[in-house]
Amino acid sequence: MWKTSRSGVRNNSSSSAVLVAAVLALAGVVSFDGLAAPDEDGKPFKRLVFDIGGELATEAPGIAVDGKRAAYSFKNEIVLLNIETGERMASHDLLGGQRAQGDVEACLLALKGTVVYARARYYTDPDRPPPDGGVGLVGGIEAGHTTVVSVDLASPDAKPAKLVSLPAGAKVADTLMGDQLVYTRGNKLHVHRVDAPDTGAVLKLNDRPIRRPLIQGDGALVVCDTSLYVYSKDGPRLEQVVYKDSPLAAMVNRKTLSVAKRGELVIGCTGSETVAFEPNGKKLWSAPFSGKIALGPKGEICVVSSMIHAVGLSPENGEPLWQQVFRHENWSGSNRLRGVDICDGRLAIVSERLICVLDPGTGKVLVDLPVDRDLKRDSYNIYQTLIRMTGSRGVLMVGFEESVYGLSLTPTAQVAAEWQLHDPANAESDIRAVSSLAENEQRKVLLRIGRNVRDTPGKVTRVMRLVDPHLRKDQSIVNAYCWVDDPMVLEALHKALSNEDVIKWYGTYVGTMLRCYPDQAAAEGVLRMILQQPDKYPVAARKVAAEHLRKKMKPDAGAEDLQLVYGVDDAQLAGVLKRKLASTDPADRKHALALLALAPDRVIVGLAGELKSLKKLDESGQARKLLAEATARQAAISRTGLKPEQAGSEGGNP
Amino acid sequence: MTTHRNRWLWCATSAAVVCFTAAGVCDAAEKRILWSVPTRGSKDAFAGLTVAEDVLLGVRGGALYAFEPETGRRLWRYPRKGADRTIWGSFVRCVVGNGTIATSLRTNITRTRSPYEGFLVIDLKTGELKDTVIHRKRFGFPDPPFEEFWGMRTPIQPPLAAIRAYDKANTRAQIMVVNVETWQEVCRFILDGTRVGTQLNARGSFVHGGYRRTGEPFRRAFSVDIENGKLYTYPMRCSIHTDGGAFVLPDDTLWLNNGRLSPKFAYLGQWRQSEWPRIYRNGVYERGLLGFSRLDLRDGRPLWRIPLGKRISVYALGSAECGGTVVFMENLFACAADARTGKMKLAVRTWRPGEPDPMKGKRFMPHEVMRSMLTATDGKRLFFSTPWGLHACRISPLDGEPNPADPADPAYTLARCRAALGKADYRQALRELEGIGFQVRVKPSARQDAAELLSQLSRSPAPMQYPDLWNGLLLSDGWVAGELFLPVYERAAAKDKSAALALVMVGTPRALKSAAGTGGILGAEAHEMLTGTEPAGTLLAGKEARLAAAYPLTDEQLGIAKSAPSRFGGLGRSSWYLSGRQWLMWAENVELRRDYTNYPAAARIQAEIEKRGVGDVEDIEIRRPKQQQF
Repeated sequence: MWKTSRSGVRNNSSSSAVLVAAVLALAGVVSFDGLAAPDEDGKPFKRLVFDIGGELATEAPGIAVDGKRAAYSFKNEIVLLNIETGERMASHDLLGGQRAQGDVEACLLALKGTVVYARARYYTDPDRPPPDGGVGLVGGIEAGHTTVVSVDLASPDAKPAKLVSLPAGAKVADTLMGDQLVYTRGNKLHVHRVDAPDTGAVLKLNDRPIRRPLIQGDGALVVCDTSLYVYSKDGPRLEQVVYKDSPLAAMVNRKTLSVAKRGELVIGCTGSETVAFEPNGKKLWSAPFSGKIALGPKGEICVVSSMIHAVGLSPENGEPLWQQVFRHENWSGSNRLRGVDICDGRLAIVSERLICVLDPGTGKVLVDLPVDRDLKRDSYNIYQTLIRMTGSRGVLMVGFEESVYGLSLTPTAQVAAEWQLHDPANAESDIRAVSSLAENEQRKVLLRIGRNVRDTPGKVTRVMRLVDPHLRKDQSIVNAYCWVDDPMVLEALHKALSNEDVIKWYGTYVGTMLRCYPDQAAAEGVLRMILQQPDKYPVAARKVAAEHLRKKMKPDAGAEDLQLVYGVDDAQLAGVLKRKLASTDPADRKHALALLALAPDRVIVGLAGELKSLKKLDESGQARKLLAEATARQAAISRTGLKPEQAGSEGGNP
Repeated sequence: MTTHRNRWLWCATSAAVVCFTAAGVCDAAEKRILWSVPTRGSKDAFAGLTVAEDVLLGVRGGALYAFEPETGRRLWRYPRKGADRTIWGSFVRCVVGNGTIATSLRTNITRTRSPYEGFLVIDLKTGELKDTVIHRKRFGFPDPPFEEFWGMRTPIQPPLAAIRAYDKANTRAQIMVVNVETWQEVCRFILDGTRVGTQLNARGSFVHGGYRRTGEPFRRAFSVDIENGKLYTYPMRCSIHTDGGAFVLPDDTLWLNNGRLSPKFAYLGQWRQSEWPRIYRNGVYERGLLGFSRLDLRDGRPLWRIPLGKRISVYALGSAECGGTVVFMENLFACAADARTGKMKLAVRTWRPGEPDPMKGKRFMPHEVMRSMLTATDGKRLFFSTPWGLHACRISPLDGEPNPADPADPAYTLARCRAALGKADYRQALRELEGIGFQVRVKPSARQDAAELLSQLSRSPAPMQYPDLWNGLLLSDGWVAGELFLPVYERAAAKDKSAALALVMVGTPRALKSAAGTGGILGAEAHEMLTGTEPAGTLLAGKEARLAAAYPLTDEQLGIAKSAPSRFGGLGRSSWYLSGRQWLMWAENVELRRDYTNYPAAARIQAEIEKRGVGDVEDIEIRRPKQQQF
């Protein structure tokens, strides 16, 4: 089920098999199952701590952690294990032997000691068996019978205690809010202690919740059709943020909306940007990045887009603090984002082709592990949880499709030097392997080089040069190596931006790659050159360049000047320009000439006398040029095929 | 008035950049916008606007609404209460006489049986239901009986309507001709073929339509003479445009997408290239490659043409004609022109790109907006429907001084653009200026101002900051500045032949010469414009012949055809101009690839038919009802 190799190459192709063999031969170690090797203390270092298979269900397997204990569930079976070793400690039946009609969908809400709180959804009516065996959505409603239970996994004979029973349609949050259960039913938000359903609050919502409540620290967020409800445990209080008729209007019916709450700041991703606002709806800032939001332990705002472009945003103004982009196999390669979360204080990103771990404060890549998995489920359903992630004790625990696995969060660079070659998240072995491979195989490896080489730049630069970036098919080098500060990457970028076809389809990618190039000044140099040569570069390339540089382009003239130049009062503009041109102060004359460059042609031509009278050589030269150009433009404008009497008609009357 | 003002304000605040948001525009002295009824997005928009006997009709949310054209006052709604979805679509509605209208009815929308398909006959003045005509109940089952599905695309051209029913496998269809004044069946006949999907037109003694005969890879236009039982069929050109259907001209000839035929399909010759022609009253209009034209019924020659820029989509042609005025939707504008001379009377901006759909929350793509936009006119007023509302706009001359308060005046657009430039909001400035070319067509005296502003804009940071918007503006509206951007166009046309349209729009000899040099269809058009009018005989003989002689199928075109991955990807618009010989050449090339099996055969048959110039005739059985049966 779990497939990964040191080179990250698919194991199911014959060519890849050769490649893997070569890599392993070079590495001189370990069997394929052995993503393990002894560490300095003699204990084996395992990147993949455990990997447990199960049956594919409607949602992802349930997982929960508490210290070194972890629990997972596949349907109605709950298992307790040691997260550091993967050792199985106990197991229990969620329903206590009760027979459900069809499958049981379980979600572990919390693990406290050995007691697990779980939500189970299943059919009980024998006359209404599930249509396909699963417990899915029927008409957009979570069908079946929902029960919240607690089970003490340490007591094998203990029966599950039924805490709450809910009818179909209830949307229960995937985790507890402290010791409180949060769910919506109809247009009401219910919050109460998990073991005391009669206490707590029932709050009316004026909008229709479209997803399960999202627990964020000491609060909960309820995403509705046209608004967002922010529930704070303190108080408690419930505030509604209405999108309509506000700068948040783009979030109306945004079913894929990702939201988070950071203190008094609510952050939401619309289709094209991240918006921060107060619970009263006041927009504070927006940033041109969109994706899934994850909040770091210190309130860091991380946004990860579907193309695995991660960006850290400043909470104050939304400015990007760091950016990272992760490789694709090729320009159009599928590397869809599956999950993003802060686990054990680190930003964990799981996609189809990689698992990476970043420091949410600095964006530093800690782990970059290529994976190759056969996905069982190709669709993406926003109403259901298809991946669950959590972390504890330096282990990232992921429940996804048919497996629950634990991955060591130890940064690659902190793995003992002598064992780094055995770490599948370390690209060192790939780099070593490259030179011994055939040319066509080299490219496959080169484009997968991860970021976890001890002295990355030098080595990667050397191997990167084995790829010829001038071949069109190899333009994906930009994708793979945009994080390497090397002129060759810029050259490849430049090449990509000159190619109309590439830009047409992958312009967004190229723009993102540019944002992540380490030497931003050099990247901007390339972009400025592109903007300054409109005849040479396609519009789409210039658009990419302009998007990147736009904020840094300051208007040439101040607000007053702009009002004057683009106003309709030619006489006033001419008067000001005349006065400045006649001034003895060179700064005034320079300013006048700068304004003239933006002024209407008729004003420039009207000032011909003043312009010709300029004495200083460079000023008179500039003035003459301006005058000649304006005259030529006026002449060109006067040559038109439109005659006033035609008024839009051509041809004769009937 | 207060009511309208409130409505207007609602509209302005609900969508931040909705059209005409400038404060006070509604109540400006000119009062260009007479009234508005806000709607909440594309799904809520009014469909099928029609003016009938001084009543404006529109379908919204499954209900039929009637408005007073002058004030926007709602006269009635059918059904009176509730969001009853008894009325479907907008394509079946007509005044059938005695002050009544007929609209489509369907009570069961599943793909099983739809037994209650029929017409509602509604009183135009009161909105009262006069009659309910259920096809099955009134006219009986298809005969001989088969598992039938009734077709909804049934336009009515009083006094006759043609209703079709088809079997589950959709391999044969029965067409029933009904007198809509008496609601009695006239006759019925069966066609062995599939996809009788085009609109059926019953006129005089003929029923026209299109279908695909069993075993044939292409569609046929058919014409049935219900008096003598003759079925005339004509294989339609095997291009992508064969789905458009056939239209009946006032002189009882049948208009196909790219040709004109007599009722009996004696081939008269090819008209100019055209796409989705529309017929209103006595005019035939088309949105061609170069603009919106009225065509001569006799030979398809344009009587006049309003030059327009690049078309967004075919939906742009939601047109209507009334009182000597033809209205149409084009790109961002709802336009009105004199039907006789083609003189533009009005061009009012309807929406702005990037405006969000209040229902969906996402931004509209142009084609989505265009799809839900419609126009209608009563001769004095232009009515247009957008996802944001139904609006009525006064059609009046725009002569005189510039009026920045009138949204139809170019001065309004220029003022908004200047205001945005003054704030260094270059994106907004470029957006504001989009479509200035339309407004200059209405008021040519504003051209100089617009050209000067474009010149100024070209020297501002806007083109560098928003190269895509600037490029779009240049290609669609840059012609306003005469030859100012000619070098830019020439460079663009060297890379992309479609950019030659901008050269044609500039229209000066130098620009036309440059356009002619680019080759292709636009080059041919420019060549024609440069060298003078074309002899009428050439037109009748088929423009393709001239093109084939002057611009033979190039190796490049053949190369494209060879690599055509699908039937849509090959020659594209060039196919309009292919001669029979060229069709064959292309077909052979495509055949080599064997990637679209039916296409070569269809092309060959098409070429053969064109050479012969006539269609096929056969006899079919026409059944007439016995008087006592119904």
